[in-house]
Amino acid sequence: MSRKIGFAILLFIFAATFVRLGIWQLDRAQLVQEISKPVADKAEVAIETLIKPRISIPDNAKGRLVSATGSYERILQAPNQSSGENSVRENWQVGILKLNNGAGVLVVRGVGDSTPPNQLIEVRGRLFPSQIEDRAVGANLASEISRLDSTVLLSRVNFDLYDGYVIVISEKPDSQIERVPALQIVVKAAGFYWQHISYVVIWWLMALLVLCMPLFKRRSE
Amino acid sequence: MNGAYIRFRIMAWVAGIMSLILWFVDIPVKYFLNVPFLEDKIDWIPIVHGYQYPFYIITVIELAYRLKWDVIKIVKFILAGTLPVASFLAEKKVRASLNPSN
Repeated sequence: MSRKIGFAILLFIFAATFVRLGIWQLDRAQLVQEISKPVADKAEVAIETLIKPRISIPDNAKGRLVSATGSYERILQAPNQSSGENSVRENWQVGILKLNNGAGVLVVRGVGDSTPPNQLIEVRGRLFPSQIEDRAVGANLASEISRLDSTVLLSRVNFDLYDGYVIVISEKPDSQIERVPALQIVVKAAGFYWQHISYVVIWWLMALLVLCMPLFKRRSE
Repeated sequence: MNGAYIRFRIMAWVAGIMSLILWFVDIPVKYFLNVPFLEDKIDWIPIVHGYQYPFYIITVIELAYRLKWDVIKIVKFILAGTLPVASFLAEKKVRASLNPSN
């Protein structure tokens, strides 16, 4: 009798565990669905009010629409870049925009050789965190930047730089340059909604099977 | 009995092939190789793998009920559907037990 009770308790524990694992997968499916929903952009802000020079971009500033006004101190090429919309590798034109407060920010102007006018320029764009991996190994230091990361330029300029970079959406005055898409940052979650739902089915089927085990046990004896 | 065996056989092959694709295509591409353009093309693999497995389990249960398998054997056959090649071996084992002359 006590053996039967022990067996029943064991089955119950297994079934409860499988049901709980199914609920966990259901939660993950809902999380994946939440994360993949498009989020409306927050209002555009001046970059000086959002981040500080020499300090890492906080998470809530990543992907924000920003504006900045200043003049281009230097124009560089960032080879082997891609926008994430497609896998085509391009050479991006990157400017170091020196703002009125004396600090500079890396600005991706677009693709091509169009030189910006030598005057005060108002830039609107999206702020991205610095790239971690070099895109161009052995870049020519005078005219190229190996990755979009202001720390790479620290020894080449004599003013403070903001962390991260801005992909330009518009410039005033406008110059005829092919822009790079400034897409929203997509947070990738592991797995897909329907994949997690399939695991819910599996775990709950397992729970059902565990509860039916006495039937199989009796039949095999 | 024959119908249950055929259903199990089909699902054992499907589960085996899907496990091979999952272990040797999906996992290396997503976690070990840096090929973002390929990642989008193989999104279907874990989803199809996830949905075929319950059908495999159901065919195992149907066969187990008819052949009066014990619980341990049922668990082993269910787990065989998650490992590459194991479900092929499970299917071979069932075939041999049903046709001892082969």
